[in-house]
Amino acid sequence: MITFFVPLAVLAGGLAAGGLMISALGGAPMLLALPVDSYLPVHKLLVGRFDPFMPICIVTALLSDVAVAVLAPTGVTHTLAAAAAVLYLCVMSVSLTKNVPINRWIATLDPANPPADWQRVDPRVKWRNWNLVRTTFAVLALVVNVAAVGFLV
Amino acid sequence: MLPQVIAVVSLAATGIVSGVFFAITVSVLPTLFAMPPGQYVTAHRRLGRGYHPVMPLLVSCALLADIALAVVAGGDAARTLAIAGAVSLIGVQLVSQFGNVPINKIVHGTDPDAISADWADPRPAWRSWHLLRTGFAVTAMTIAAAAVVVTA
Repeated sequence: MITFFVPLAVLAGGLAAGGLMISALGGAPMLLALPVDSYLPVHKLLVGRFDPFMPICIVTALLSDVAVAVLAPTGVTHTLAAAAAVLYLCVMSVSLTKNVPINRWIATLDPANPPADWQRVDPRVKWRNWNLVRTTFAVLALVVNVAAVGFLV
Repeated sequence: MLPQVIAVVSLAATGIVSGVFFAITVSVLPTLFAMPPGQYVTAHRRLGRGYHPVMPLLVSCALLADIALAVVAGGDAARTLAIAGAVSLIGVQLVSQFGNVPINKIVHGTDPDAISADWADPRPAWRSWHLLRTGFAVTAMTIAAAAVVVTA
C-alpha cells in the first residue's frame, strides 16, 4: 500500500508544483506588468481556468501523505510523510487565507470601472508574494516525498 | 535503493513538467488567445522570460534520470520503461526546439506597438506544438510512475 501512496504523492505533488511554478515564474510577473484595465480580466481568466486542477492535485498529495504516515512501518518514512503532509496543509492555508480571497475580490471588480484608489488597493504584489510562499511549500513537500522513497526500501 | 530513487526523481521532474504544460494548456493559452495582438505579444515575451531556463533544465534533468535508470536498472522491465521514458522526453525537447522555440523567436522580434495589418497570428501553431509536447510529457510521466512501481 505504501509503495502505491508514495508515488501517488510524488505524482500529484509534481503536477501541483509545476502548476504553481508557472504561475510564480510566468504568471505573476506578467500580471504585474499590465495596466489596471487589462490586468483585471487577465487575472480573472488565468485564475478561473486554473481552478479545479490545483486543489485536486494538492488534496490528492495531502491525503496520500497522510495515508503513508498512518501506514509507514519505520520512523523515518513516517516522519517524512508527516512533514510533507504538514507542508501541503501550509500550501492550502496560504491559498485559502491569502490568494483565494484576493481572487474572489478581483472577481467582483468591473474592469471598465476599477476602484478609484487602485494605487493603494492593488493586490498584485501581495498576491505574487503569497503565491511564491505556497509554491515554495509545494516544492519542499515534493523534495521531502522524493526523499521518503529512499527510506522505503 | 539507487534505481528506485532515480525512478522517483524522474517521476518528480516529469510531474513538474507535465504540471507546467497542463497549466499552460488550460489556463495560460486561453488567456493569451483572449488578448488583442499587441498585448498578446507583450505577454508572450514576458512569460518566456520566466519560463527559461528553469523548464528546459527540468526536462534535461528528467531525461538524465531516465538514462541513468536505463544503465543501473536491475531488470529488463525497468530498463525498457526507462528507455521509453527517455524517448518521450527527447520528443518533448525536439518539439520545443523545432516547434515552439522558432515561434518564440518570431514573437520576440515583433514590436507590440506596431502590429501590421497582415500580422500572422502565431498562437494556433504554438498551441498545436504545445499540445504535442504535453502529450509526450504526460506519456513520460506515466512511464516514470510505472518505473517506480517496477523498481519498488
